[in-house]
Amino acid sequence: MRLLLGLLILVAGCDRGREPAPDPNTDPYKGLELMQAMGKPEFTLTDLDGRDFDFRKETDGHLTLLFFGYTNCPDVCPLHMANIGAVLRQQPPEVANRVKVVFVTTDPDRDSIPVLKEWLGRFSPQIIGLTGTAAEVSAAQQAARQLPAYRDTVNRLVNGGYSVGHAAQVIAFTPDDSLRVVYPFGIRQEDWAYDIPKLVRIGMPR
Amino acid sequence: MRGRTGGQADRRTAVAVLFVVAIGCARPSAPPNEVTVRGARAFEARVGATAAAYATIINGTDSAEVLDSVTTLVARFASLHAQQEQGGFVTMTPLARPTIPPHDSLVLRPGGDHLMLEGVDRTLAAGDEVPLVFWFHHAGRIEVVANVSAYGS
Repeated sequence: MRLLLGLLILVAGCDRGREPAPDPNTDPYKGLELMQAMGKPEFTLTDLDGRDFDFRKETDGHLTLLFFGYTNCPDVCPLHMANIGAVLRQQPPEVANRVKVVFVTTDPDRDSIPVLKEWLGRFSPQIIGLTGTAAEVSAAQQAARQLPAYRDTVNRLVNGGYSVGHAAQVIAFTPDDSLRVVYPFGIRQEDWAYDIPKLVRIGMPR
Repeated sequence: MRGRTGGQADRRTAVAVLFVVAIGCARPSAPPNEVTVRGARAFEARVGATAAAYATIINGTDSAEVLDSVTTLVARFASLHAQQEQGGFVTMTPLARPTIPPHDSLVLRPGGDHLMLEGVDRTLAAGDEVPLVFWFHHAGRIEVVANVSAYGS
């Protein structure tokens, strides 16, 4: 009897400590919201079918998650892609179909189209891979106001290879073509799952 | 009578269990005066590619320890890298023979310092186990098994 009473008190205590459910309409984003929204960049790169991909035109009206990275990246790039892929699989079609995920390689010499296809395919068929010349990729990063990636040929890796310094965050353009929120490394799947359904609604007719 | 004896035996057992639990709880997280490698894990990678691996190295001794190298039978090289993020920009440099101060630790983790198993000789899939050997200047050879998991799992 005493045990039962103790358990009851414990359960009641847990219940009292529970926070109210968040209101998606008023609560802030889990990502870092910019003080002032910025416009969507214009650049054209090559997609994994070898066709021109006009970023602004092709992603128009969608929540667009843009990331610059490379496939030899140990964890920052694959974890971002894997987390987004996992969360999109859990979203209902009316949300998932309004999201475009764009991965631009910052290492076009090593990231050939077959390499990109295999690597991105592991995370989600929904991720659009883009490549181009070093100059084109650099121009795309500048247009997106990202620090341009660079090939580190000074600090050679043990195998003689090189690493690529690159921006660590995913940047999110809402369907009204505004950059509103950025997602640094360390953002979790539950954070994406909270923000994506909110972000797809911005600028869309209700 | 039998019930009473049984009750006393149960009580004795309970006290013994509590005692064992208490000893278990009281044990410090790192055995004193030892170097230990804990929580080894790696991410999946296809054959020939590079797998990132992680562990926490605890130096429980009174003197500084140096991690001379890490080796594995499943890859051509195992190399240590430092990874820093500054102002939203991430860079990576080789980490040669890091020193771990006395009673301190070196934490290898995603987004930070890590091991790279370059050129794995088989596809590493979630659930696989990878042997890693850490070679220390003083403590010598410590072999551990890293559990492989999928990115984002």
